[in-house]
Amino acid sequence: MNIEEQLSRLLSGDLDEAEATALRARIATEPQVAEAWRRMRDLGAELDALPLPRLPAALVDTVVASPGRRRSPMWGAVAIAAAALLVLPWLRTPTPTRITLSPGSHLIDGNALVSVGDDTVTIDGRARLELAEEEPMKLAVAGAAAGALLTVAVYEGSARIAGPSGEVQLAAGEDWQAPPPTAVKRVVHGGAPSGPVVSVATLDECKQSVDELSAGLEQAQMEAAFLRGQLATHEGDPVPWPADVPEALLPDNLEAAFVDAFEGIGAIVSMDCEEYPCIVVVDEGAEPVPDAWKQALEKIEGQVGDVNAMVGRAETDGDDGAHTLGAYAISAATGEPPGPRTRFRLDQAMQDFGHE
Amino acid sequence: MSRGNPRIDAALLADPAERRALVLREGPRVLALCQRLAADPEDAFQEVWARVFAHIDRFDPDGPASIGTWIRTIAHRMLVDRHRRGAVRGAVLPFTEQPGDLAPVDEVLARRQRKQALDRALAQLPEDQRRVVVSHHLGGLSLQDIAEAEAVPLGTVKSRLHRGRARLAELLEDT
Repeated sequence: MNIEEQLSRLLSGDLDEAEATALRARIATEPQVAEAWRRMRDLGAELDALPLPRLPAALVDTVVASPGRRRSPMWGAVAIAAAALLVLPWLRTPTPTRITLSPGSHLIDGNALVSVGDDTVTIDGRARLELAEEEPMKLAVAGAAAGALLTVAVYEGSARIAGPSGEVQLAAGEDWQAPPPTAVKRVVHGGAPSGPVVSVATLDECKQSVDELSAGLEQAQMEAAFLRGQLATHEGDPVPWPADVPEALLPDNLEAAFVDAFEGIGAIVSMDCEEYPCIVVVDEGAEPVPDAWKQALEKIEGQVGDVNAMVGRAETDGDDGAHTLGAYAISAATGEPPGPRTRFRLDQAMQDFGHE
Repeated sequence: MSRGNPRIDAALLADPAERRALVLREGPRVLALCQRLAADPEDAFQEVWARVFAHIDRFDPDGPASIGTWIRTIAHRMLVDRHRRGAVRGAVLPFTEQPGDLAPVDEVLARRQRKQALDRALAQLPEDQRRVVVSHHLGGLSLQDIAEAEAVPLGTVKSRLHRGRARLAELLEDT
């Protein structure tokens, strides 16, 4: 079992007490093992924080529409063929749907059965029904005649108006006007009308839109919650200054150490000590000396003692050309190693002054 | 005793809106598993939900598993079946984030590159190790759940997890 596997077991609590104690002792005393332990802990957090994909809407529609079975291209074609066989007879014998006729002009395209007062208008083709009303609101009251007047004009096919006074058959090109009805009941239609009369279809579409918007809202809320969590994971929690922070790491002392260590290498352009540890950004100029920053860090370590260092390197375009920036977080080796919060602050510092 | 699970009623799931709500709630995690463990993620995703809806009456809201865990266990088991019957042909491609996944955090280039490196490393793991790592970390399944889904001892699953994580650490160190 290699050291990474042992550390993974330690992370999961799968080592017995003696093994765990021995490994913790190695972490405390061997820098390489400590570094491997930090990487293993980071790896576990990164795996847990991997982003979830967004569900393609079409994929959701497919699994929702086909519960208990899976769509494949071949079965999809068979399903469509079977659906067509079912739909065709249905189209030939349409199932009536009840809607309320409102005053105004209504285009009927298909088979329709319209009840207006004691009259029934049967349309097979394309016709316009016009219901005139001086006080339209009264039409909503059952039994209110209120001077309603029905006109039927047939464009294609035929229409038949049946009532107590007899029947009238209309062919294409003919029209008919009824005396004021005593009441407006409803329109029953089974075709595929277009124009204002398709209020059922419009309602269905509205309902569908509401459903889709509700689903979209739910999805967006879930994504927002996820992103908030992701952002929180990414940014980490602010780290207060510990009470026992070594004096050498206090802002003034640390700045002095940086000024001294980076003399001839670069100049401090930013120092953020609002949280622990300080993030120090150093401009190393257009032609940085390779690895000089590492020597500077060693010098700082020599001055302040054992530390944990997190480093970011970036380049920025200044007026006088590209500059190299180094962002450094120096914390006490005895405390918690730098975590996501420190990494986030380093990222921010580098974004503020350059680009990675 | 109920664990506060949403009660799943087979009759309720006859309603497309109920099915949609369940898919929207649990689907992203299922798709995440399929994307990393199946060569044809969307087909696998459909197969998972076909199984879920076909057997939803077997889910016990008062049982030890949440509906999410129950669904992801089905997903894991199905992915094992696919692998064993050779349904996964060729290599599983490294997962790459889809454009729709772009989050504010991804503006930080280093972290994005790190995630991509992690996905590339995951894709290089042996299948049995990848399954355990992905289902445990991304799918949120316990190692016991995975052991039951894989029909192997718990110790075997633990070994796969630790070997997988160790290999990932090595691969990421090289990047």
